[in-house]
Amino acid sequence: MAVSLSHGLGSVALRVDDLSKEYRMGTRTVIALDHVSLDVGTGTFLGVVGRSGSGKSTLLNLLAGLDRPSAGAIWFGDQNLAALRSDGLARHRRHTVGIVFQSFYLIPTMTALQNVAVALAFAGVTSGPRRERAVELLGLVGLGDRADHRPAELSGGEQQRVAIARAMANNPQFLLADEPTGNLDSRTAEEIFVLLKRLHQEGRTIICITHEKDLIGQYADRLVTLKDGRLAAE
Amino acid sequence: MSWLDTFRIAFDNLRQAKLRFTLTCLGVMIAIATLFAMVSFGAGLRAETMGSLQLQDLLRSFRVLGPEQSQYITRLREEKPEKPASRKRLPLNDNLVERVSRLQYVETVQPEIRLPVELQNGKSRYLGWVRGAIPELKRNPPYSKITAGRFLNAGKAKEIVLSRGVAEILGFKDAEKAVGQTIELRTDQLRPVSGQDDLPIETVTGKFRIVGVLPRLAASRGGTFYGGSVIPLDLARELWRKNPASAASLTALRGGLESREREYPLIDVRVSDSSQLEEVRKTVESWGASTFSLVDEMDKVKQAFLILETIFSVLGTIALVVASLGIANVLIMSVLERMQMIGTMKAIGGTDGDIRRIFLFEAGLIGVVGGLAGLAAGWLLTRVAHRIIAHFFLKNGITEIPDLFAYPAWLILGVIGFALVFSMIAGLLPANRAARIDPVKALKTA
Repeated sequence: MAVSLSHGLGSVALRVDDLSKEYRMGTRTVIALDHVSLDVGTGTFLGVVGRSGSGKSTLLNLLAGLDRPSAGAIWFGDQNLAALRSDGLARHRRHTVGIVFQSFYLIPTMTALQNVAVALAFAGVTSGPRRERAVELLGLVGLGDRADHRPAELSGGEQQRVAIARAMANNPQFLLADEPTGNLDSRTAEEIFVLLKRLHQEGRTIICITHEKDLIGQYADRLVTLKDGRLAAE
Repeated sequence: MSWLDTFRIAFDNLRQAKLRFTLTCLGVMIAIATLFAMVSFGAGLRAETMGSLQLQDLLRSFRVLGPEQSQYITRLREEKPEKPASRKRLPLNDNLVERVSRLQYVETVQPEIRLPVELQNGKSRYLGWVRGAIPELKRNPPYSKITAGRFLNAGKAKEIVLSRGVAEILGFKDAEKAVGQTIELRTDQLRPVSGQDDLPIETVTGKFRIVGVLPRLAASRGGTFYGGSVIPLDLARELWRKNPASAASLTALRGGLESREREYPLIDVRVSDSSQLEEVRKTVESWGASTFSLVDEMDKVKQAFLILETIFSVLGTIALVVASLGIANVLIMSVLERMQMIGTMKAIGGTDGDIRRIFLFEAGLIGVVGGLAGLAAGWLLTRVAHRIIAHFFLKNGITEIPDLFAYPAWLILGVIGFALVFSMIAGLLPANRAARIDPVKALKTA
């Protein structure tokens, strides 16, 4: 039986309603998420933990609008992601959420500044304001002096900071992080969490997926565990 | 995303793979250069031919034909010949010349007189023809192009204008030096005979002063059609009427016709403007004369050029299709290589349309860069070809060299447009494939 969790921290910013995701692998059907329901209040720092294959990344991809659910609904305010078409999902990724990945996914041919600016370009921000905003964001994540460096010239921690700056480019209400410290050493991982906490304190809703339960425990104000595609406990 | 930003991203992407971009552009360049050079040749040939027809005034002249020429033209056109009795033949004589001259818009009327002659300068001899010409012909090509000396004056003065070729045969290597020199002109004349053993032919000789020499011209510039050595028409007429080669002379010998009624093989008529040609021609035809004008053949000429240009265009287009397949191939490879970048762009808010446009712009950029390079290469190619042609012309002493390549604006804009359209079509498949990529799968591609 699926466990449904709700939390009373402020108003509900995000509601996951009976969400399921199935994949076809050859003739086999794999259930990645199994009837998950979850409410996330505005301004929450939610940590989602679980073992590898528990469905954490699938949940994040669905919340990000990168993937579509097999059943159920994902409500961001009064907007159900499941009902959106491709362009609507792109708009969601552009304005409502910012996404940070374990592998950073910076565009290797662009400088740090261009990597941040390209997210603004997709939002139609013109050249001048785009550059100003990108410089400001890189300054916020402590990389003001590394703006003209390409990803290959930056450390893992620096690359992830650029990725966070890029995720914040269009000032989204939600920041979704998928194992943001997975490729970093413990000291750098802590720096990233500090940065995420700062962004949370500025009023953003953070959903961070990680297997580092102890570390996230120090920063998140709410933790949920996924097990075999189901919400296990809080 | 704005068009400018899309362009910048596309340009940066291509810049990252310089060698591949260069090679793909090279394919387009070769195709466009081929297309450009071939169509330029077709257009140049057409312009040169049409231009030369205008240069030679062939579009504002027609010929009134005698019975022999009329039958010849009928045979050429594979038309059914008229029954001889069905139409009263109009004699091509001085009466007709005068009648045509009085018509509105008629500029010059010149009976065609080709007199077989022998020209001699010292030991150098030329056996051939001279024509009779009215002084007004100096306004028309090729006589309007005389650079050495002048054209004939009115009257029966023993003057001659030599073609460059004849001048050379007569030993005048320098055209300027020939002017003012005197040569002998011999031609046969019929004469009445008393005894049965006498030949009814005698050779008469006259000393003619060279007053001008024509420049050597390419055939397309009037070197053949109306070219050749000329003497005053009135003088030529006199000699021709007693020449055994003319039918008029035989009639005269029989003592049948008055001078004015003696016939010419054909009469050349020029009107002041090509638009009035048909009107004058119809009037003359209404009198019962047969006429011929190159205007009749213009449609066929235009059709022939259209076919030629179409063949050239098709050949060039085949090259462009091959180059387009190269673009499609390169971009499909590029999509596969840049899966993660596509996934990332979608993750940060890029729409399917944004991604599609980036790849289409890349294809378009290859097309435009390759097209511009092809244009330059094609131009260079045609200039080299022109130089080679010019070399052969000069080697044969022809100084007025036609340019067989034309670069009209429609061709320049057309090939660039063609390159752009073909490359964009080639980019459609990879661009759509990139746009449809599932971002989750794309991001997993490491």
